[in-house]
Amino acid sequence: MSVPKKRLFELNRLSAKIFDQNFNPQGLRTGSKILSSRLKGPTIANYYGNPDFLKFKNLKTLFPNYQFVDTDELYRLSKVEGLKRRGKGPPKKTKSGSTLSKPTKHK
Amino acid sequence: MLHRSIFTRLQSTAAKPIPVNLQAIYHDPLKLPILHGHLKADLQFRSYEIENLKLYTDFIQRVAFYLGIPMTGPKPLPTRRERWTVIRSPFVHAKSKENFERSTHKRLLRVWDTNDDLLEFFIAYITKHSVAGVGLKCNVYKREKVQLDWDHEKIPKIEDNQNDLVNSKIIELLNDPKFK
Amino acid sequence: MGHFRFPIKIKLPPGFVNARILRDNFKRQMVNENEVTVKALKYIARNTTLPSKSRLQAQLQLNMMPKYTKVTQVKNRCITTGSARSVISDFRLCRTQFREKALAGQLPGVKKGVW
Repeated sequence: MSVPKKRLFELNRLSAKIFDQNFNPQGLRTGSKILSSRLKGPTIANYYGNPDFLKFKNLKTLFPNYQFVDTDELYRLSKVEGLKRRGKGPPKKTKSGSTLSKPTKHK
Repeated sequence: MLHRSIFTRLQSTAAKPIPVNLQAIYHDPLKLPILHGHLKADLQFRSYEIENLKLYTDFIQRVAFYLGIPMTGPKPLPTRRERWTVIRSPFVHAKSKENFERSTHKRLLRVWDTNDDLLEFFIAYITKHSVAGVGLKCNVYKREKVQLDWDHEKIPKIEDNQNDLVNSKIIELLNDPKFK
Repeated sequence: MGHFRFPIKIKLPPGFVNARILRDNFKRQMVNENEVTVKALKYIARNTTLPSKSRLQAQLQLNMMPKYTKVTQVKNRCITTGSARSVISDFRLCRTQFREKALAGQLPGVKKGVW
């Protein structure tokens, strides 16, 4: 039992029409590959996370009536204070700009 | 006075036989027979740890039994095992490596012969009492009559927001005088 | 990179920020913004059944678009250190960060592999 080619062709055409599929018997380049792929933009853009994610510094402006303690910041400040007491703090700025400029690169 | 009353009540409960529905906790969950064989939903559970997964599926089977929902499973699906090998040191020494792995355990429960409203209630109930660290995916199946007259307008159109954006852009570009 | 600038203002990503993360994030946002146009132009350019003039025009316009709108410019980076090498994309972490976090038990389900 053999089915004529023309009939099979017709069947494929019809089933493609019913199920909303691409029917391209000649194998032409119609760019359907590009159309059928989904949009990747949102996943690419969200790689680093939501930019509106709340940060600690935003809390103070959002709730001005409350007091928040940033332990990391306090720790940093205490460290800076300790360094200053031991004379290891940042150097004082000179009035005449940068008299002790960086050593120039020799070429 | 109050203390004594509680104590006596406790004593009395100890003497009483345990009710059947409490006794059932010590056994496997009961199952209702499938009458019509209409598959209504597939519930797939995923978790990195097996303990909570077992607990949750057991609980759901009991819920289904008391709601009168026939259910089959839990069928263990193949566990997905992901493995990573990384260099131990942050710099050089690439010969020494360390292996890490993560296995995702999966279970499948199938719901049969159920009213749509009851199924909705059931899913809402189990999601409300979900267990930490267990993911649940529900595939709900609905049956509709097959229409013989294929009218394009009658067929419900699947909303494809993404593709529509691109399609409208293509039409807009092709209508541009530059493209003609 | 050459004369790479940020012609459009975008929001800073949360978490660790680094010049390279900033640059990559900018490209990601631009890719997202221009994706529909790029896709439409690509479709017209690749479709052999369309008139050749419009196809040529589409190809020209595609080439005219700035580099930062291309998907190939985007690189996966570690979100805690900004490193671009040996990034495990499942966790968006580089290998050292992944190892540290996995050993500390901060990655759910990840255990030391023994087999």
